Amino acid sequence: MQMTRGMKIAEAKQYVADKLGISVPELTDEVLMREVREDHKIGFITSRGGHPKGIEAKHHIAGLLDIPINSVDVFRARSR
Amino acid sequence: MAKIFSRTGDGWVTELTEAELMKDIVDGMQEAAEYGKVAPLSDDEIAHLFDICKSVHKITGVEKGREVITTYDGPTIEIRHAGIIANRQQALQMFERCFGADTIEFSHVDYSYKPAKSVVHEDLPLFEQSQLLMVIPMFYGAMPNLGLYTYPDGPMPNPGELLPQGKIKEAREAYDQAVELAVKDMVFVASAFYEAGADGINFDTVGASGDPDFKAALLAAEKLKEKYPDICIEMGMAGEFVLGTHGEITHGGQRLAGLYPHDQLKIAQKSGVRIFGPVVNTLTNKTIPWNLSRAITLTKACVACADIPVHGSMGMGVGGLPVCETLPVDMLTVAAKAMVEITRLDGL
Repeated sequence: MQMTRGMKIAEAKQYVADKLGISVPELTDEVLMREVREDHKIGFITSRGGHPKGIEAKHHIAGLLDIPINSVDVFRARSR
Repeated sequence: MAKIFSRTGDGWVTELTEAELMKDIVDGMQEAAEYGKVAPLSDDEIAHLFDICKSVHKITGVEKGREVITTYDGPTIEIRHAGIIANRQQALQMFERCFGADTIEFSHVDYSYKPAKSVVHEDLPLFEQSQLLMVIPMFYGAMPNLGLYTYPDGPMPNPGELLPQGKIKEAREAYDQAVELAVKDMVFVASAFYEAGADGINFDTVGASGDPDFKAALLAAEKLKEKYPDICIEMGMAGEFVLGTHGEITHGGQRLAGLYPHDQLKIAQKSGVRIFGPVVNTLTNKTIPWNLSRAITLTKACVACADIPVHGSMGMGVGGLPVCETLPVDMLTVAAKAMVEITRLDGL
């Protein structure tokens, strides 16, 4: 959010929390976020088969947060 | 009364009484306020910094909910510095999956735009592969490093040799021409990586060669912003004070030499920079509380006038931290907590 919208940290956290449907303090709850990340297909730290990784996870992040992510945009353009 | 564990700016352990600790915090703040012409810390902020500096813990941390994000300069090079034989792709994954990095940066080991330009086409395939693997945003970064454009490393006469001879006009002309070359290289390299999918471009250690170095980065940022309106440019500075190696360079009517972080930021954000990294240098003969108080006062002024996110530079010799190769965890975490909680910046 800082990179694409120039948001300050507090505003950015609130925006992401709202999009994920959780509270701001929950953003840094590792246990809860493991589940949230899996549900939204946005990747998590461990590498598990069948779950999005790399640009695939980033593609979901761009959609979920409704932001342009340059690496995703370039990938999509080249995939057409 | 028990003495308070602390360290000096060179990293060595020292002990302070409560009165000495408070005096160092107030003195460091006053020095910053006077030289930077910025507002001093409030009594509450001084009291909070005092409490943080009294920490008896090996590791100190921010209050829950006050976490900020991290950006990096030359992270893959740090893996080499650790003697780990890993290619850049592996190093990037280490930062994302082992070190908790929130963003990452791809860079050439010779960390300046001039040498990076000659290997762009060799670096792009690895960059593109890496971008497919990473979830966190990936920057491309390097330094403007104007010194590489003057003899014996570059085509321009060396101002460092001309100035002692009294050839001030010739030295300034050399700097002006070096700026033109640096801007071309920065725009060329940044364009190549942005078009290959870089999520952001980092201009790091800006101002290392003084005001012409800062000028080159500002011009490059403007050109890139015009070319790619959505581009995220991060600008991390080299020092707290822009050296006047040229002395007469202006940008938007503002003289660049002598600017402190809050004024550096104002020009940077006007030039299209989206994340600004202020630097405050450490004095080795002062204590860490003195240095930290000084760094926080200057950084807080920077955050106060920022419309864009501010990521404070914290590492060896900057951000109130000691000038030593292996940073002590006690002061590193004390400084990080104090910087985040008092300045209310957006990242480190």
